[in-house]
Amino acid sequence: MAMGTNILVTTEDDATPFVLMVAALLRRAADARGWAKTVAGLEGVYSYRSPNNNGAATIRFAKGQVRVERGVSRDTETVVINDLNRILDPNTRKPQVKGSRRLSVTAGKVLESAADTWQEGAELFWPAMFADPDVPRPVLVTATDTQESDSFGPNEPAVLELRGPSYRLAALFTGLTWLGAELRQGDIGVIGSATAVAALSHRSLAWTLGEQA
Amino acid sequence: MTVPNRPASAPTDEQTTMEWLDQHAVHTVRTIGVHLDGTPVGHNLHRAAFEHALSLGPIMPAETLLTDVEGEPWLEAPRGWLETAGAPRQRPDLSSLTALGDGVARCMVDHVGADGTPIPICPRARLAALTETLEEHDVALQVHFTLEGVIHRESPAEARTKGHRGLTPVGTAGPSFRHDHQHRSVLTGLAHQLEAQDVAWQDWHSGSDAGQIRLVLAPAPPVRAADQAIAAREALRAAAATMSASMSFLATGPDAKVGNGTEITMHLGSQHQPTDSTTPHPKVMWWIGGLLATAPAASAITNPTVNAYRRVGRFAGAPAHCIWGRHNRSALLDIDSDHRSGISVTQLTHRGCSSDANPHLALAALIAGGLVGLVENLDPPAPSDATSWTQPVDHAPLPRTLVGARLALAEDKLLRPLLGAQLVETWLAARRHEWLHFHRSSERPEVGTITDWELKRYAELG
Repeated sequence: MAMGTNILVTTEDDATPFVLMVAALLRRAADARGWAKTVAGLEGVYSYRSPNNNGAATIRFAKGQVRVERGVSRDTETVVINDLNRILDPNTRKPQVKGSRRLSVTAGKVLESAADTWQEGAELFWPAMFADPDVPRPVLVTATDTQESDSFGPNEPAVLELRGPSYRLAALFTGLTWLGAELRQGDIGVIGSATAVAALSHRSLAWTLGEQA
Repeated sequence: MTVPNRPASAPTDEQTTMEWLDQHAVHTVRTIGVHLDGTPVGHNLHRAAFEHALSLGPIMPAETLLTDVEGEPWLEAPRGWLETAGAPRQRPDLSSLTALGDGVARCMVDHVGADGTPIPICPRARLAALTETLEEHDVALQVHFTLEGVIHRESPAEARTKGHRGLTPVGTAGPSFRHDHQHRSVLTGLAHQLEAQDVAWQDWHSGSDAGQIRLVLAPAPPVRAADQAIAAREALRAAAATMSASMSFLATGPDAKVGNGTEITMHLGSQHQPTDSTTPHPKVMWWIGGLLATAPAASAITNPTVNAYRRVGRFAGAPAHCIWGRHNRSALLDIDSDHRSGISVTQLTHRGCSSDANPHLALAALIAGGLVGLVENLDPPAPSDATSWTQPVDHAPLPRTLVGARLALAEDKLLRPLLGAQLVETWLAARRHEWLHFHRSSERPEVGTITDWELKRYAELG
């Protein structure tokens, strides 16, 4: 159950990474991003599929009970084809929608309730990271496109610096991706020791998949 | 059967090592360490370089030890130990020096830090440390591995070109002797290769799947037994190569009915065990109790890949239930006794290990489980003579997915202190890495057929 709400988001036992990520996004949307009332009012079967890989999930909304399953279910009312990982990118493609427009718009708003700015996303992200004592701190974050910087953690010299475009930082802090994937793709870079990078990468992945510290 | 702890002529110190190298006219030494995923990693050292590095061995970059089977870093694996250990080195285990002929020798190594202390993710050193504690419990342990793999007529290059699909097995399915002639050329090469690799073996025979070969190694102390399993895999590959064929230790191939496993038989003895005993010694019972209690968590180690779980629960395949029995081949643990040598030795065969498992790490997990049983005096449930293959899924189940096994290991409190928290955390990160890549790289991997990704990644593993 999303903390502080009556929204229950469940998954299968053997859930895929995409399903876990979607479930975690929904829980955070309901709990911390103010969408609980909207989720509670949703009814219907909604599927989300990536155009680039096999990531797909079906979400069953039933008045506060939300079930996320793998793949696109046959009984789905709406299919949205969109790259969830890239929805904040400036040149991202417009999603294709098949089925109920109303459900897709409302559910899409909840699911894509990413932070408007990376700083806003960071407000949820860093406390979750620092709940793990192994995650190094403080961390300096620099948006390379806007040249904005902010420091998170104690008021000391940073032991780690994250550098990347503001939209990729926002995606990371929202839970649409995780640090390891960004490092592999080269979208975000980190200046710091291998030990520090591993600890943050580990926690970032766990957070994206909805695991508690 | 008596197998010495080390080859009779193996050197023990620097002086005898020099003499041994002279005696065998060695010019090159292959150092072989064991990566967490079970693949051998090492150097081909000029003799002078080997002699120069006798005390600590050559450097083995930490990143080599923290990568997946295709060389991609385990970014999420903890690296805190590196700050105190420094750059890992491959410290030679001189007792393992083996002459391979043509001036080449093999030397197994442990991965150690700058001060000579084994690094926490060295499975060989962890196995050795656990084995040393057995004496405190008055337990004598010898182990033999039974390896399974499939031989195909295609060469490794041809198999790769075909994406490891549609290959032609050498021999048909079934254990009947009538198929053995089809293995004869491989057998001839295999016997030579095993001799060349100094691998002691007892038996080989056909398996249930087409082209499957089962090689039963000779009992040896745990570290040597696992070393021999690594060498035997190499010998099997080399034997197949002599007839331009290929050998795969893929747990579940595209045409597998049963799949490939690794049986680990533990020969447990105790000085104080009565020789006329017809029921297992209490320590054996506790050992079994510990193995069963830790089996779900150990499954993440004994079945390390998504591919390994495709064979779990198949009829006549890998055990899917946490049961033990006497002469029960379907059970996870199958017990037998041997009174021939005058002292009573219990043979306990673990059948829940896939062919792609790391022999050192899997055996370490089993010994850790046995030790848990000894320390906690864990009595096992009653033995079962029921076949596991027909039992319902929910009856004493073992994990059926890598995710389930990983979760069991993450929640485990029994194995972790014995295997080491750093090793367990690294392994958990590595297993999640495999699972993520499986889902990111394959098209609908959840559907029951084996994916191209699995074949590319695992067909040549082991």
